[in-house]
This record gives sequence, C-alpha cells and structure tokens, in this order.
Amino acid sequence: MSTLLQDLRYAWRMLRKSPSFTAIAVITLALGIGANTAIFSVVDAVMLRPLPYPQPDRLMFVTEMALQRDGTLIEGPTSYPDFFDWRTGNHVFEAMASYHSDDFTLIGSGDPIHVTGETVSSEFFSVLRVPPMLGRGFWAEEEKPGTRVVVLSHDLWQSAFAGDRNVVGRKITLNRQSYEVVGVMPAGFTFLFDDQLPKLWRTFSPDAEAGTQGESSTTAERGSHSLRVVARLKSGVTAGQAREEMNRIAQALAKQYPDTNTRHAATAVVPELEHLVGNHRLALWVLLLFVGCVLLIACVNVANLLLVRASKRSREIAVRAALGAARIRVVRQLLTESLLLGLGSALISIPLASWAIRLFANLNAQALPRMRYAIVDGRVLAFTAVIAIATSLVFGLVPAWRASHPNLVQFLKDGGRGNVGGSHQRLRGLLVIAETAIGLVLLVTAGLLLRSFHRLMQVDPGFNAGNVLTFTFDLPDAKYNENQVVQFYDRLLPQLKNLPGVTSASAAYPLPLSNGRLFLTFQIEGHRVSKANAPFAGLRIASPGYFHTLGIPIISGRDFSEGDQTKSPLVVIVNQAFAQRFFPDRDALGKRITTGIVNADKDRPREIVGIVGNVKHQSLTSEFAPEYYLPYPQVAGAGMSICLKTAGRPQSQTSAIQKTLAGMDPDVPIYDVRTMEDYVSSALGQPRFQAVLLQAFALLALVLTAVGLYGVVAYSAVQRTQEIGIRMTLGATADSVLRMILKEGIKLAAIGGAIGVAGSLIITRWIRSLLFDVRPLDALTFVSVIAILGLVSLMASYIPARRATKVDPMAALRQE
Amino acid sequence: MSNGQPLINLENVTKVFYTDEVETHALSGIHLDIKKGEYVSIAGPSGCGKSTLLSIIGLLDSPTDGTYVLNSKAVQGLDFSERARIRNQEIGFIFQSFNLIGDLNVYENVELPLTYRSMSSAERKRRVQEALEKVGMAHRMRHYPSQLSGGQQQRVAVARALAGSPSILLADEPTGNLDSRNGEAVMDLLQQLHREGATICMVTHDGRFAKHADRTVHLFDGKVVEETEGARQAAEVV
Repeated sequence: MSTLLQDLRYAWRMLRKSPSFTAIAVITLALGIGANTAIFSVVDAVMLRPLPYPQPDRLMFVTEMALQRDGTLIEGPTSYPDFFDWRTGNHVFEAMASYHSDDFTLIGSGDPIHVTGETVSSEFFSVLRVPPMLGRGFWAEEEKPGTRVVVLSHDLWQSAFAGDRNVVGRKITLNRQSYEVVGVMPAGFTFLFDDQLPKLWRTFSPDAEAGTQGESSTTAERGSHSLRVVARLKSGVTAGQAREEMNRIAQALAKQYPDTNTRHAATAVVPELEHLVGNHRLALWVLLLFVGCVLLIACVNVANLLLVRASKRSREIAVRAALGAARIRVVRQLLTESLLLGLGSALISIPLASWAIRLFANLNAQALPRMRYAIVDGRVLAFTAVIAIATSLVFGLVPAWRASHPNLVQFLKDGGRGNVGGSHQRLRGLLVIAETAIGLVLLVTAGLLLRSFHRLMQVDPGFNAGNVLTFTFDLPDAKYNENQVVQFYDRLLPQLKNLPGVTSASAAYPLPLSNGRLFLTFQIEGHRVSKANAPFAGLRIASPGYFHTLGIPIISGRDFSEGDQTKSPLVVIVNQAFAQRFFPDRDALGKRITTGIVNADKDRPREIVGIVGNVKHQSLTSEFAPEYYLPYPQVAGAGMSICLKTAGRPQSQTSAIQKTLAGMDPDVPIYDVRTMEDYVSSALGQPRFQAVLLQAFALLALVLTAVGLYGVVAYSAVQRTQEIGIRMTLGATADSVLRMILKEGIKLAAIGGAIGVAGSLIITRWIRSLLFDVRPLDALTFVSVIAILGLVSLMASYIPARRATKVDPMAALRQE
Repeated sequence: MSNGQPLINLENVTKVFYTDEVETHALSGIHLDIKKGEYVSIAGPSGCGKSTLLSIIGLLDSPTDGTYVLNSKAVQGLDFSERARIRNQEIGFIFQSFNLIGDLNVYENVELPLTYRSMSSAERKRRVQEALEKVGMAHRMRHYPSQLSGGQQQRVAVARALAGSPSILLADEPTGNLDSRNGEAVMDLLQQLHREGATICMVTHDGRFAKHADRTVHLFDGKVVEETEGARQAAEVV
C-alpha cells in the first residue's frame, strides 16, 4: 500500500513537473471523455434506462399493422371496437389500456389555461402499476357515457391547485364541462409514450357518447383508428406468444368485419421501450461509436506523447530496472501516471459534458424521445470513471510496456544518453497511421450525414414557411355546437386578417409537419368498390385562402370560397399526387368523390373544384402522398389551427392575436403558437442534431489527427537533427531536407488514409438508412474528405519540415 | 579482507553480439572468481569488454555461453524478472554518471531499491539513514541531485548501492565524471567499505584507482590476459 502511495506521489510530482505535457494530455483526453460522457448520458436516457414503471419489460405496445397498397404493413392506431375485442379476447395480457391525447381548457383556477391530457381506458394506471398518490384511479363503470372523472398530474395539482390535498372529490371545469377529480398522480410520474407530457387523464366516456346530430359514438366506429394501446404481459407469457394470440384475434376480426378490418388483419406486439426508441437506435449507436473513435484518436495522441516522454525518461527507467525494479513495477509506476491523467481528465470532462448536454437540448430537445432526461447522474459518472480507467489503460499500457524493458547494457555503456530506439518511432508511426485511418472514417461518415442534411434542407416542402405564424385553440363542445364553431371561424378570420401587419389569415387541420395524421376512405363516383377495398388518402380541412397563406400553388381550378358553405354544393380540392394516383388518365377536375366524413351529408358526392401542389405533410423525407382538402363549413364542428402571413416578424403578432381571441371568448386560450419555419425546423430536428454533433466531433478528430501527425513528424525531425546536419554538410539543400521530412509525414497520412478509405467503404453501408438522397459511396464526399485530410496532413508535416531546414549544420554536428 | 568463500564464479563465459550479419565476440572464454570480501578491479583498453563483463556480472545482460554462479546459484539462464529480483537483493550498482533520479530527493533515491522489496517503511527509513550516514550525506537527505556536487551525488549513489545490503558492489568507472579530489574521496569511501567487509568489483581504466583493489583482472579483446595482485600493482604504480 505504501509503495502504491509512493507511486501516486511520484506520478503527481512528475505530472506537475511537466505542465505543458500534462495540460495537453488532460485537455485532449477531457475532450474525448467529455464527448463520450455527454453522448452516453443521451444514450442512457433514451435507450438504456428502463421505463419508470414496475417490471417495465412486461409492458408491451400493441398496435395494428395496416396493409398498404404496395403490400407492406405499417404500424397504425386501432379503433375502439377492435380494442374492446382485443381486451376481452386475449389470454396473454393481465391488463390492457387504450390512450389517445387530447387538449383541454381548464377554467376555474385563474385564467383559462390550455392543458394537454390523455383520454384513457379504465385500466390505464393498473397496466402501468402506478397508483395515484391521492385518491384513486379509474373504475370500469367510468368508461360509460355520462361519466366525467379526471386524474391530475402532480405538476398540474401543484400549479393550478396549489397542492391542495382536498382536491380529490372537487369539481373542475374542462372544456366547459364539469369533471370530478378522483386522484392525483405522484411527482415524477410521466407517461412517456407521446411527444407532450400529459397533465391530466380522463376516461373515454365522452368518446362513448353519440353525436348531437345522431351520429354514432366514436367507441362504436370500427373504421375510426385513433387509439394507442399499452398492455402488461401475464407472468410466463412471452412477447412472441402474445404476438401470435393477437394476430389470431386480428384475423378473426378481419373475417367478422371485412368492410373495416380486411386491411388490419395483423398486429404488432413490441416492448414499450423498443417502440419508443427503436427508430433512433441506429442513430444513437452511430453517435456513440463516433465519439468512441474520437476518444480512441485522443488516446493515440496521448500514447504518442507518452512514448516521447518514455524516451526522454529512459534513463530513469533504466536506473529503476538496474536497481531491481521488476517489469511489472515499472509498468505500474507509469500506469499510475496514466491513471492520474485519465482521472484528472474525467474530472474536467464532467462540466464539459454537462455543458454539451445543455447544448444538445438547445439544438433540439425533441429530436430524440426521453432526451430531456439526459443528465450527468450516478450512472453517467460511473460510466465516466470506467471510461477514464479504460482510457488510461489504452493510452498508457503500450508506452509503459515498451518503456519497462530498457536496454540495460546500452544504458550502462552510455549512461542512458540518447538511446531512443527506432522501434519507438516505428510504433509512433503506426499509431499515427491508425488515427489517420479512424479520422478518415469519421470524416467520411460526418460528411455523408452532413450532405444528407443539406439535401434535406433543400427539400421543397411544397409550401412557403416564411413569415407564417400558427396557433391553435379549442372551442368546447359544451358551449359551441357545430354551426357555432363554423360561425366562430367565420368571424375570427376577417378580424385576424385586419390586424396591422397581417397580409393573410386562414385555418387548416392538420398543419403540414405537425405530426397530425388524418386518413379517410372515399369512393370515386362511377368506380364504387367494396368498403374493404375503398381507396384512402390524407384528409385536410381548410378555410378559403389557406393555399395562398402557405404559398401552395393552385395548379388548376379554384380555391375554396366564402360560398362553400354547409348547405351549398359539396366540394373538395385534391393535390397533384391524388389526381395522378386516382385519375391517371383523365382530368380530375370536375370529377366527384364521396367521403365518409361525419356530417349530415356524408353520402352526398363532392365535386373536385381544384388541384393544388403537393405538400410534405408527414416528414420531409417521405414521398408526396395523395391528399384531399375539404372546406371547414362542410365538415361538422372541425377544429383547426390558424395560419397568419405577416409582413414583419410573425411572433410580434402574438399579443394582438390573444386580444382578438379574448374579445370573442375570454375562456378560449391559445396554444402551440409557432411559426411554420419552426415546424420545418422541428422536422429537421434529428438529422440536424446528428449532423451538427458529428460535424463537431469530426472536426475534433481532424484536429487531433493533425496534432498527432505533427507531433510524430516534429519529434522525428528533432531526432534526425544530427543526420540533417551531416546531409547539409555534404551538400543537401533546404528543399531536399524539406522534401525528406515532408515525405515522412505524407507517407504516414497516405497509408492511414488508404486504410481509412477501405474502412469507410465497409462502415458507411451501415448508415445507409440514416442518409437521405446521398449514396453511402458518394464520390464527392470521399474526394472532399481525402482532399481535406491530405491538406491538413501536409500542413501538419510542413511546419516541422520547414523548421528542420533551419538546422545549423555545425551545431548539429557538435550535438551528441 | 577476503574470507575465502566464493561469491562469483564465471566459467568459460562468452558473449556474442549479432548485428545484421556481423558477429562480434565481446567476451570469449572468461573464467573469473570473486570471493566474498574481495576487492577486484577490471581494467583494459576501451572496447575490450569491461562493461560487457560488468553487465553480465550485474545481471543486466546474459552470457551467450558459459556458466555464472552467484552465491552458489546458477544465474546465467534466468528470465528478466528473476534477474531483476536478484539484482535488487544481491547487487549494488555505482555508475560513472551517478544515475540518480532527478525528480527524487536524496532520501527517495536511496530508498528506491528498497521500495522494490516487501519491506516496511520503518525498516526502509532505518536502512536509508544508515547508508546515508555511512557516506556522510545524511544531512542532505531532503536535497535533490541537482542541488549537490558531483562528488556528493556519487556518494549518494554509493549509499543507494549500500542500502540494500548487497552481496557485491559493482562500480563502473565510479570516478569517471569526477575531478581528481572528488575521485579520490569516492575511492577512499570504497576502500573504507571494503575494509568493513564489502565485496567490490570495479571497472576502471585509471591505474591510480586500480591499485586500491586486491586484484586486477586485465582484459584485452574480450579475454582475460593477466591478473595482478594488490602488492604488485602498488609497486607498478610507484
């Protein structure tokens, strides 16, 4: 123990004695360890940490797989009747719950506030196995029509009810309806499966109620797919067994209800965590691998520094060996220094990592699910400690091992002077080749993703997002019937249009790139098919002027007009993709389709009065899909988002909008006040996150590689000072010396680069799915990266080569 | 001073260095015995194999052929770690260039070989103090090598060699880096240690210092060409 302390003391003294070496090594490693710590904290928060519920591995996401026209199956929400059949018909889950998000206006605790919530089935909390901290969860009979009960989140309980413990049993007003608070969830309880954290939960009782015009309830609509389902596996049942049983049930339902379920004869049962993060797994592993490689380059650089240092310390090490230090003792001494360097770097890396995590969040916290939970906690610190120790071994072991076996005879002969072995220089050369190869792979990967991101940014979304402000509000059913909703928009839009600085005002639902999904089947007049085979397309609801506000071109026909009212002839506008898909051989304009949209005239055909440009609604990477637009007065009680085109900065209109809304109804708060550019920016969130990070890390890798190459060439030049002196004495010109030293650096970089190119050809295939409109073997990227690396290598070699030409031959010859 | 018991026995020791395709016979058929308590010097012109012989005796190198018995144990074929262990316990080195570690103070330098043994810190402290007192450097134990003169540094190096109570002290040109006054002082110190019973084997090319030894082994071209006893040496020098 005392010798270990001695080693530590000595190591500390040695590091303090060489502040430049220590600082360079610590900073190099701290950057590498910090990057790894930060990315690991994200990976841990997103992928590794279990869901915050008891036995989270038993929680399964159950979903329908909808058969597409091209024969593929895509995951989609289910309907209430299907859910009920799943719930009662399965023997593999101990409980199953449905949920879908909803927006609420809470009145009665100060100003009306907008809150997001979930409409759930009664088993919701028991599936998650988290009981409320106050009150109770839901009872089965509370799913029935007429019941209004709600469970509050801890946040809402604190913010809107001041943590009143008597809130249970109290009546609160949500969307103008009275709800009884039956429970409050504990602090920290979150339902992570959606983008926004819900503030309250209610049962689906309102969905079980029939419409005011006699329409059937949503819970009775087998064709209305809006539910997500979470279920808890029974003990001893595997996900595979559950999948089999659920598929059996789905197939039986498809036979029983061919009109609605033919395309939904399959299900998927996947662990909830997998469902939540599965799509991001590859991107995160790539990031982690990437920063791991950056750390490896940092290790190689520090190992190179240590080799130089070991050369300089060969006398000391030889003395120790001559005095009887066993090899392992010398290695231990040197590794103690490496360990101190590693741990010191880890300490510095922690604030660096915290800063980086904050930076990631600013880049786009929504880019990855659960990323908001990324913090430097005990787990992350443990990772940092492990990586620091592992790093110390990686960069310290080879130099220590090499140094621990000095040539004692040579040492005795010359007293340890200048006996730097050529093998050290060879090893350092190999290390530089390795880091150049790794650096090139990283640069190519980053280059491809960057090109991909630029391609993505150049994608024309089909609309002009510039200077468009959007916002949303909810008109409560209890106060506004379907006609009153239409009248509200009729009155609101002209007022907004008249606001100073507003050039256009319109409304639509869902907005492009807003994650709103609405698909509906329809029938083409003269080509009616069975319900099961009815074509479907994306449905949009819009007001007159919407296409103008968003700059969506009207290709032929007309826009919606003030004349397209509830009782006037039904009309529809379709996009080009719709026209091409369903009317490939004829002009779609003037043709008629029947939509299943819920209103009194749902079976009356609608005439296609306009064809508009395609818009990227789901994502920037997806293909243009067939879509059709309906005028809002002809869709019963449709709620929409408002779009304002402004002459100046769109955000400056917010207070005027609030004032206008308050003038019409003070109990209707607005929410989701965002610019369209923000929606586009969010759609680029993950690629941007990835591209920016990889670019930064690739730059770091490039700098480290250049520093490593510079170090090797510079040290070699110093070692060859005497040789250079002799050569110059014998008539070598400065140019020939320059070429000689340059050649050494370029040779190392070229070998490393060639290995890197070969590695990139293999590795870039793995990231194919992360690329958009760029091939993994994109020649421009490869050529650019090779050129950049070549230039940087040339610079890194030129500086020491140039210095070598300044050697004074006489001084060099006098040097021993 | 010799008590007649053999400490070192080299039989037909050969050392060949191979560089590319050239064989260099550094030592050929060396026979050498050193008894406990004996003071032997090895002399000869530059390149005759003195240092090679000393490195084999000091277990810094292995012979190509022949046998080497140290303290009744054959040591010619030991591996690196075993040689390190024996070096640490049986041999004390004194180098021409002192080879003190600049980052360790005098005390730590002398303590260094003891840290490679399982020895309590109290025992180490006792031995270090004793060794430093023996060479008259106890008052400088917190100094660093750079704060000492060459003669003082060599005395510290001698203390370091002594601290482990080795069977033999191997000195390689111990006065080579010292002026004549300091050189004499170091030789006096070795002489005193010899009188106290230490076995010493010293490489030197300086006839003045070789006379201090009981016996001088003369090497030429890697072979022992002559051995001279102490009295005869003195006469020759006079």
